[in-house]
Amino acid sequence: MIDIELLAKYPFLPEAREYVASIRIDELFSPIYEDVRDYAKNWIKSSFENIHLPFLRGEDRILAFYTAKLYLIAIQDPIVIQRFANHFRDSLESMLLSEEENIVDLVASGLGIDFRVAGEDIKRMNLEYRNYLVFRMIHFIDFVKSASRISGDAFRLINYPLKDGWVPVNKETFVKILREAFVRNFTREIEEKRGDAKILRRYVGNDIREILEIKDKFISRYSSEELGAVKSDAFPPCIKSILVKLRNGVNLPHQARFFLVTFLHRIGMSNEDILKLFATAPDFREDMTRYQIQHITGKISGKEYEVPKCETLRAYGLCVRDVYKDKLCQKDWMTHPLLYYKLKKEWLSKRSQSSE
Amino acid sequence: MANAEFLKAMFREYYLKNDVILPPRFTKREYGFMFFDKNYVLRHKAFFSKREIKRFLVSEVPKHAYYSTAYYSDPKNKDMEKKGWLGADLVFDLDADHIPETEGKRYEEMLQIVKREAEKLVEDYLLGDFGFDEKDLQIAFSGGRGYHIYVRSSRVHRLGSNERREIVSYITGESTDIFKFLIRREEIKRKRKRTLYLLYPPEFGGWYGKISREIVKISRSLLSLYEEYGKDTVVEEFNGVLKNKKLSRRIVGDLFKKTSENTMKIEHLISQEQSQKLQIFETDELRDAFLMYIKEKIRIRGEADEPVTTDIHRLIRLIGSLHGKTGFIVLPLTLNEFKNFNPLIDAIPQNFKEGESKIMAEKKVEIELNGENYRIEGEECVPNYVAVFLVARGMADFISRC
Ligand code: SF4
Repeated sequence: MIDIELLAKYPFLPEAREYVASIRIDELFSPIYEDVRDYAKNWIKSSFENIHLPFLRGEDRILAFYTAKLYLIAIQDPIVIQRFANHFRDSLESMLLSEEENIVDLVASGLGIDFRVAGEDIKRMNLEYRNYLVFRMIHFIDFVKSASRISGDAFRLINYPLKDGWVPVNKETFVKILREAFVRNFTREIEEKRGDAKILRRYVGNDIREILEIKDKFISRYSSEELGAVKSDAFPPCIKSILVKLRNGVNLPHQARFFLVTFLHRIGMSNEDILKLFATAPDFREDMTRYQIQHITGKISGKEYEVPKCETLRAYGLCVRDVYKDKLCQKDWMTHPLLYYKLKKEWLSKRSQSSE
Repeated sequence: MANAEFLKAMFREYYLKNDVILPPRFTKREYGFMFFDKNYVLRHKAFFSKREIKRFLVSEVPKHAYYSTAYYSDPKNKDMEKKGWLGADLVFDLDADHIPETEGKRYEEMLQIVKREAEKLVEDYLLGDFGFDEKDLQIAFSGGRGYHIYVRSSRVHRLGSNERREIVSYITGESTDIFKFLIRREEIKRKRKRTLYLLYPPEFGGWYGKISREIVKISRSLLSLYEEYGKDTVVEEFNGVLKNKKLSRRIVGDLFKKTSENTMKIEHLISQEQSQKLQIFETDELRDAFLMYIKEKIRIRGEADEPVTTDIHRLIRLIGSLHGKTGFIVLPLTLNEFKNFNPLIDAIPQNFKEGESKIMAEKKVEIELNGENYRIEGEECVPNYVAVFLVARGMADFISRC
């Protein structure tokens, strides 16, 4: 039997389900549970304000987490879901870092991670040669599932002494892998329960509205409808698809962000307008993002980065010509997204002239 | 026209007598085809039974047949978003086109080089580093200039593009600095600073131990190449990879020079059980070039600019179908079969081995097929598999049956 305080810290563990299984939905939305619901609602809202609510103890936190999940299932808004998941992820990471080994293992198993304890030989060898303390061996498939969402050398598979499918990692890396696994499982579960949204909305209508208002306020602080002088109709499909993902709160890989910024900058969008576009990213922080944009566009470094060509984008998996079957992209000579933009823009303006 | 009709007739007979090998969950895959007599690509086909596929192949007789590595809830839907992606095999498509040493080589030699690349991928990476089980792997000769290697473990099905890319970077070592996998030491000798690179122990995992192990293995084969064919062949071998004749010559000069103990430097690379062996090179430049060569030999090439592995909507040749530009079978192979596989014999359909046809070759062609050498010029009666191969490749025209 796992201690209830432990489950309160990690309410996503399968064992926590026992505490909520017996509660019916209509009970949960009766006055008895009002405080739990308030907490859940504020919990979600707090993820937009980057504040951490006072920690609830015991059963209440388990229930509040469960309720927050129900809200998210009812809302089915990718931005809100990601925002909350990332918020939770951050506190999860700091909690796990200070836990005993057996607790970390317990959470890892609960998240469905395939891992094992490293043998002495591997520990010794890693310490001697690569100078890090092996905490656990993680199966490389689970490693890449999480690591591909994190940037930095410590998360590139090729940098590890991989053997028979096992990646020896230190505690910090292991915890980061768990943290991403949580986000993945959590968002997937909410998406899969999409079918329940309708019924739930009957109970949570008002609360949802409140949450969505906070989100809208947050986004409108930044976003503008207009993309300025640039012609978004003429964007190549790769840029369009990145923008759609961004709008849906998908966490973009580094190369995608980089590409988007260089592209928009080159076609004349102002840095402030570019910044606004990123407001829907799940990990948006104004200062960080502004810094990155200024870096890429040469405001800080003095080095203005080039817009990557199609070939490079293809290597990064950002080219979507095969998915979208775009005619221009299928041409042999289509080698650069800026070329696409230029041609399409001319073509569009010709067309609008002739139809006038 | 006669050419297309001839090929079509031969292919039809093959499809009548043979069954293609359907992938797991074949009803959830998308199929695509190209034809002898139509210009379009037919895509977004779905089949619900084996018989239906057979019927299609026999009546339409495609020139090329493909299926998706992915499976979908609605495979015939034309809209990618609505197709409902459920998962995909992990597939590596190795093709001679992307391996520099195959440049200017004959078809037979080219296939030999790709085969070694495929062996490396399977043995060193998939079964070795990644620890996949032999039963999860499926190898297929592509019918053209390469091999397809499938991993069909439930573990990999749901991997997205970004995750597959991590795996691809691992096996291709792309944009990775090989010095990262060596131990760096600064040394001051006679008041001059020098950077030394030491090797990791061979039993170490990943690229670290791989480099140590491969230096021994590769040096050994360089030595036997030298003993068997002489210096120039070794220079050619380096040049094939480095594309720099002068440098290749200098490396070979250095490696095969006798040292004071009357041994060649390359023997040190083979025998010495120590991490210091990279110090034998005369200059850092030669050492670095040698390491470049080693890296190219370790990494998997052949996939470079076509991201088959990361494209999770990709179509790939149907196993058991015929390749329209060679007439070879896209042949499934177990690991053991693969080792002894000779495409120029084993991938010829049985029915092509019966009967002869008269063809006309404008230019003289020489080809080794089914263990025999053929030299054809002008009009000649040849076995059907030779006729199919040359007609399909556009090197001869079909005249009549013999
Ligand atoms: S072909 Fe170029 S412009 Fe078109 S989607 Fe791909 S990367 Fe973008």
